[in-house]
Amino acid sequence: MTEKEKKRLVRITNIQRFCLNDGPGIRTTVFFKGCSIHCPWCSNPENMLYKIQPYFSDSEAAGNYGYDITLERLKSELKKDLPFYIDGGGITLSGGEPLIQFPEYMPLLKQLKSDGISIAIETSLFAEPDTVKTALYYIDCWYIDMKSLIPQICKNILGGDMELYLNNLSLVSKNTESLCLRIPCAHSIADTPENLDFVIKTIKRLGIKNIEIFKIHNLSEKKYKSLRLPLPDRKYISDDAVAAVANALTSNNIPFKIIKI
Amino acid sequence: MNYIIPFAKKYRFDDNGSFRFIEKVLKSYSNIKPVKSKNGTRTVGKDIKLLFKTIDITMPKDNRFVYFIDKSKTIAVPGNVISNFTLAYDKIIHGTFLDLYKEAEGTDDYGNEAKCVFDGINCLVKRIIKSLEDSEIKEEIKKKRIDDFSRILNYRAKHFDEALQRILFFNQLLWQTRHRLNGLGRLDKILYSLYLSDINNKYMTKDDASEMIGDFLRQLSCYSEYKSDALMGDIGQIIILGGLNTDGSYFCNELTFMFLKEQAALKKPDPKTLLRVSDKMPQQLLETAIECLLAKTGSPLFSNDDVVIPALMDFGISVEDAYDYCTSACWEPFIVGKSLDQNNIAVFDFFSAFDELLNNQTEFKTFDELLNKYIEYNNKSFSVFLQNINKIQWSKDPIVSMFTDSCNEKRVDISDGGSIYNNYGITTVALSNVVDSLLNINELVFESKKYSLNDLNKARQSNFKDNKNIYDLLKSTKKYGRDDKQAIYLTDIITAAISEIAKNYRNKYGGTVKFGLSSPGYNMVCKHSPADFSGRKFGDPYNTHISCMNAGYTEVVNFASQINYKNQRFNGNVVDFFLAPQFILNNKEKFVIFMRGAIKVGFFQMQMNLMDSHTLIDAKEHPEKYNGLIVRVWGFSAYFNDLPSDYKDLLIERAIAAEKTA
Ligand code: SF4
Repeated sequence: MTEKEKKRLVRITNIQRFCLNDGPGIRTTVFFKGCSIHCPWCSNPENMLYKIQPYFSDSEAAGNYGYDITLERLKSELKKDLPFYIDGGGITLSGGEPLIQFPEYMPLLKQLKSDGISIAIETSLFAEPDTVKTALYYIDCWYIDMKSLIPQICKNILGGDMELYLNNLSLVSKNTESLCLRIPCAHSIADTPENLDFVIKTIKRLGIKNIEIFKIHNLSEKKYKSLRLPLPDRKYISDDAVAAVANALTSNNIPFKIIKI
Repeated sequence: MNYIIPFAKKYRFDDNGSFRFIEKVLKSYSNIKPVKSKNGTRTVGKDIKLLFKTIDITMPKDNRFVYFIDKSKTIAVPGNVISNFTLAYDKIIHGTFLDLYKEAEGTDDYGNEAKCVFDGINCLVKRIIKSLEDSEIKEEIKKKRIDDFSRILNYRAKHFDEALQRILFFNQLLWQTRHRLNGLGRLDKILYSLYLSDINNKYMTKDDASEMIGDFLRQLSCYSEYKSDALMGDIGQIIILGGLNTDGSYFCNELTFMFLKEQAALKKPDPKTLLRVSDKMPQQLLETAIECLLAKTGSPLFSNDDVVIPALMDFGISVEDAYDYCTSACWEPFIVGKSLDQNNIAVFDFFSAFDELLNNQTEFKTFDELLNKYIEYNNKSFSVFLQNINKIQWSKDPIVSMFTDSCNEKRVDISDGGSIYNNYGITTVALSNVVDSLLNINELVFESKKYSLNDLNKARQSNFKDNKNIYDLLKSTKKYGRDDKQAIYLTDIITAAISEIAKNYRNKYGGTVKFGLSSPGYNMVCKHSPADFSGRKFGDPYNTHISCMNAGYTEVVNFASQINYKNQRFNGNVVDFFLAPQFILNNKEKFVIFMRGAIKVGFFQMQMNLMDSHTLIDAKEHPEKYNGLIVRVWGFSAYFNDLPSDYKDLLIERAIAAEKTA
């Protein structure tokens, strides 16, 4: 990194060490602030907006969600657990949508990569295709959400452009071996026959082998409250939705894992 | 002479308080009688001789090994009996007790005492053989044991099970003669040649060997209440496994695995295991050790050779001895067969000087002025503390002297400094509370200037009554145990100051004193200790060993690995973790990675409590459902139900905190 790059700021909400579920081995996960879509069941609502937001406990403003950190500081935080990054461990970029600030922190990734640290990303892939293309060079493991493949739902409920997503997905799937597709089984979104049909076709067309599905949970009610946001609709939480997605995959001979998030 | 205290002190902290303690002391007095020799001047040797002539012998009912303690008799010699150590069992397996006696024999007092001991043991062996002959145990076992006991003093052990029986026999002699916290040593190393030859000669199969180890451990687990020291379960029968060789390679063998597994299978808090780990150890052994953790007996404790051995050598322990280290009952490195080292003779409290300082003065121009003043006070407090430990008297110990290098040659009893290493070890508490206090003061008084030190101190002195805000603020920032440069700096600078004093201290044998940052005292010494600035209220427990309720696992390991353990500071430094069992079950492979990383980063020692808060909370409410529930307490494990309720509460609090950070 150049001296200037070292001082460059990115906006994050948290750096979490000793993460065991965000990729191979032991990882440190950075949560970038700001997301390109807005899933109504989002479990990290504090990461949706780029702007720094106050959080409230009872009636008082008790602090802020989000802070700016220099790439230099971020690097030293990410390297604190370096000795634990054996057997494929490393760092994971998460959020929010980590690809939004990607151009800002790319110099850091360059450095981490040259230090031999594995870099994973959790993305919903609603991002600039050029960014995705560049990211392919740095990212070792991709965890990509597949929320809905119905264009209207994508647009009206999530606020995303389906075509952009699908193009990015095919770009990534063609260029990396290490891709894991994650399906949040939101009821009325993921489990409709129409969506499942698209999902199956897309998985087959792109030859995606590694698939994880999970139930929507609402562990984050506290966060919504602290942001003074209305609580997410509980209708998305459903065991039946998980079963429907699982069935569709099974009956099409697509192997998958059910994970707990 | 209060010979009874060692048997009764475990009841001191009972929920029913001192009344029950007195009752227990009286009961112990009436149950355990001292045997006193009558001919001529009484000596320890003569008392031992008479003791072994008169103790009742119990034959095994359902175990292949003979092992018994006559709980009604002991010796009442003046002074403290040397305890918290391990006898050099290798000397009576690969050598003989007769050889040791021959070295000790002589017409001087030393020789006379050794003769009494030898005669006493000889007499006991004969009585045991007679009892075996008369007993109704299985013929085949009877024959084998009679044979073993006929050879036990005069011949080297020929077989694996014979060696195990021999260890049990000498171990019971120690307990019988009031030695407490008796470790077992490096059994995988000591027993391997016999194991191998028995396997090669088809004397036994590997399964037989496992079973024998199981029986051996089961016998040791008997008499647990009688053996318990400072709390129920504090028994100290530690088995040391694995470890680096002097050539830098890692030593382990099939017995290492067997001892780990059999200890876990026994599902008892004690005997316990300590695994000497290293970056060079095979992954498979680490995996087995982690499997064993899941048996939830609190074993094994991990001791990192890559850090411990250099610290021992830095202290002046010879290369060969450093690589062969064992530990005292908890974790304090101990050189078996060469050492008087009493490694847990007292607990030093880092907070008492802090309290004294703040009671005298709250005006400081800078943080550094406060820090330096504290160090000055603490150094003084440490020096006074050391003067007091010099007053401890040890009783003569002819048995242990015979087993200890250089005592026989010098003809000096171990209690008079006959052995090679003659140091004292102390444990310490509250450094974490002092470091967090200092950092909180720095932040609130000197940096953000939110409060004056006087205000904070008043709040503290009132035990934070009417000062909830200050209390919450203090409690929420914990830096000791985190990857925090300032916390590491303060830890090192405070310990460095007293390490200089420790280095220059001389006990009556010319030995020095070493200390460590983990101590059984965290929940005892605190009882009368006023609130501090780390958000601890009056009487609440100090922080447990090296731990941090607010930090994740890698962070605590990183902290522990950056602390300086050299210069007298190696007397046990244990990172203490809580983990939900489900967490390891779900992430076994990653946990192995974590341990490999942690060993490489360089923690000193580490122990784990595999327990979730729900179980503990339920167990506190419904003890009847949890008779077998074992928890790690300080350096030992105990049945949860046997613990005083403040210990239970602390364990619950820590389990909840761990679940939050995981
Ligand atoms: S993509 Fe993720 S972070 Fe963004 S809104 Fe959806 S769930 Fe939340």
